[in-house]
Amino acid sequence: MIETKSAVIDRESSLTKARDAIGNAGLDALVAASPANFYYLTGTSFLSQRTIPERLGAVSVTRSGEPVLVYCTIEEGHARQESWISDIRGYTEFKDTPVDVLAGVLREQGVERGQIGIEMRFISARDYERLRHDLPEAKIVAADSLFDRMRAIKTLGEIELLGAAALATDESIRAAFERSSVGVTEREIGDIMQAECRSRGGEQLIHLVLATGENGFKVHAAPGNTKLERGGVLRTDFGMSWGGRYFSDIARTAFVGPLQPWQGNTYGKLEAGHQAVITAMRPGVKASELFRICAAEYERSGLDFKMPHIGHSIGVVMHENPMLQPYDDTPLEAGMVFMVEPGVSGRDGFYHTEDMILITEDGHRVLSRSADWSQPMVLA
Amino acid sequence: MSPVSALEQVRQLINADRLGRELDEAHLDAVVAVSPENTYYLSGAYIRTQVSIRDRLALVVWPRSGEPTLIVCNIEESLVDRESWIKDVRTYVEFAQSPINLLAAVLKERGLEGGRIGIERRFLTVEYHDELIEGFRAEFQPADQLLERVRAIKTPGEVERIKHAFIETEAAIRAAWSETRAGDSEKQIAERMAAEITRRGADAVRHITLASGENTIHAHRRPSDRKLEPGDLLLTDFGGNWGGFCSDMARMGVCGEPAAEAAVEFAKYRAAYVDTLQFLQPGVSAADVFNHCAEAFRRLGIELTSPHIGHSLSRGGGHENPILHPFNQQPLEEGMLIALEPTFRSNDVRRYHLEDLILITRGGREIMTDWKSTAEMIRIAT
Repeated sequence: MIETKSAVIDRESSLTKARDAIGNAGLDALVAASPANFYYLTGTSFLSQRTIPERLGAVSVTRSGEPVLVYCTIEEGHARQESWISDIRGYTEFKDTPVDVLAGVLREQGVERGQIGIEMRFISARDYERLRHDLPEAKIVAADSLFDRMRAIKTLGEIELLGAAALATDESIRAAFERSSVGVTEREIGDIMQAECRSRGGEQLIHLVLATGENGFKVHAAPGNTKLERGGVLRTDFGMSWGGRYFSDIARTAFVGPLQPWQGNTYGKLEAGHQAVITAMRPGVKASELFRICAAEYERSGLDFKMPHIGHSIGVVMHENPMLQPYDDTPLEAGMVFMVEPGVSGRDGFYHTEDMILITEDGHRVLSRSADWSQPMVLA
Repeated sequence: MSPVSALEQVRQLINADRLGRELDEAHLDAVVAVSPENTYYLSGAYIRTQVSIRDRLALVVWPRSGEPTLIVCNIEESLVDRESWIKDVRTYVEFAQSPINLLAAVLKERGLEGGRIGIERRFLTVEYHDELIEGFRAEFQPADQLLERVRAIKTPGEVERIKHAFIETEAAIRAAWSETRAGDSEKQIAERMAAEITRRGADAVRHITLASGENTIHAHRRPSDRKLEPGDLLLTDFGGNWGGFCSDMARMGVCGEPAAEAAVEFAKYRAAYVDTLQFLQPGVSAADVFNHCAEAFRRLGIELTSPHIGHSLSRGGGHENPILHPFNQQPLEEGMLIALEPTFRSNDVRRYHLEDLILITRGGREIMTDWKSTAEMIRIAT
């Protein structure tokens, strides 16, 4: 369990951000329905929002007045006890149409002729059509990027939690690698990593890519029964959940030994590209510029650059905006938290490294290195 | 086993006959799968990021005649090369090119302009949906239910794999709980269960709710720091993922001896549960099953407190139709798999929940999990 000194999120700051966004965008209401944005505005989200997306949970925030939360009655206990929203409305699944209940709330809030921001990248085509049918005079607009911007600047509590989770994940990978040698299977290494992570407060496994040998060519390979062999490459991309809703996401590459000349060479170039990006990270630099810095460094060192993005923000969603991709011109701001993760296909598999970087007023801070990864790690 | 035959096995997991018939009946020229469950169903490639990164689409274009096409982000190319039996794979570069744009190009190439094309309107987001209907001239029809009907009738290979996932999940619960004692926290118990399920071959935990004592009243409680005390009920709804085949199972335990009241309530709940299990058969509707269950509860003087009492499931593990709720007239058919899970909340301190896997057979049903062992709650040491 990771304890944070500051609240991870709180009602006051979340609703202030939402109302600022409503004001700036000229909206009358802002509706969140994806688990991430719903959580950000209510303080909770339901497991079933993720596993059963049709079971709509939504919250409507207006310029003034109390926000209203719409939930499926199965989730009553969570809505009542875990959310800071006091006005909650349950619907009975299969009997009621959830969107109709939401539309009724919006009418009550007096915005049925107003401008309503929803998540066009989350709401299904079917639900959207129903909402337009229910509220024919409303102007329904996309608010996805408003939510992205709200969540991009992390609270102090979020930074503490994400940083501690990243560091613990890195320690767990290192610890598992230190106990690995020729003959150990991918699955055994993965099990050790998970156990190490759980002992540090990691909760659920979110993703575990772990590969050696021929599997190393698959970017997202699940661990199997393949054993480490002399001279092989071992790579992982691993993340768990922390504090209920936040993620860690760390990639590392190590070598079984003896280290082959091309392995050290490729690893060194990858690390150089990685550091070139990190060094450039500070407020004002655009996400797209970092992508180009990485591409240029790869070209200079002769690595094949094939990635559509070289990193992403992280929080209650594994990949959040801004993304470090060539078409994202968002300038970096203090309080943003990025995962930088360049990779390259080497002659014996994919090489990958990934670190968490906090943007600070005067530059950046690396939050995820528990050990010196600048030199290739060779297993004992 | 050569890689070719492995991929052929993957192809045989699809109920292709039923899909062909459904397309004929709906007069569709093609259907486009876009949700993780349908893309996985048709391609055999389990693309993990499709679930975690909603914008990164992976699609299958399945024409009424001819070979299907798989469209994926180039990051996943190496994975689908090895896992999918579909030979025609097209890749897009994320952020540089819209996947919908590539989809339109494939549809055009297949001569489907102006045709009738089934799409998943319940899954496609507004943004992608609008881009598609504005960017390609065709008659688009909702095909969500069509694909659901195809997936609802399981092939023998699917039944075998899902059954395996459930049996290993139950073994993981029992192994973890046999090491559990009064004083252990919910989180410790959950960690043990997670370790046991991966030891039994699961790639990952799909979901875990675990609650003890008064926490059992919440439907989806995350494990907390609450410590187990003698007399507590322990309830879990737990699932793992075996290469995309998922389990979803509920079991109950009790630390030491149950309170007399709880023992009586559990006995009634289980009697109604078993009554409902034995009612499952081809020809009865989902609503019939729900009503039968509600009546069985009433006869025993307890109240059914859940709006649905079970669901089908398949790859990917989400709830699928037929969902057993009072407004669903869909009949059960041979070859369907049902996870039965009515719940009973007696008051503000106790809730009861079991969940087993049942295959609907020609003559009735085959219960695939060890339902007989639930006659007693799993005993946990004090």
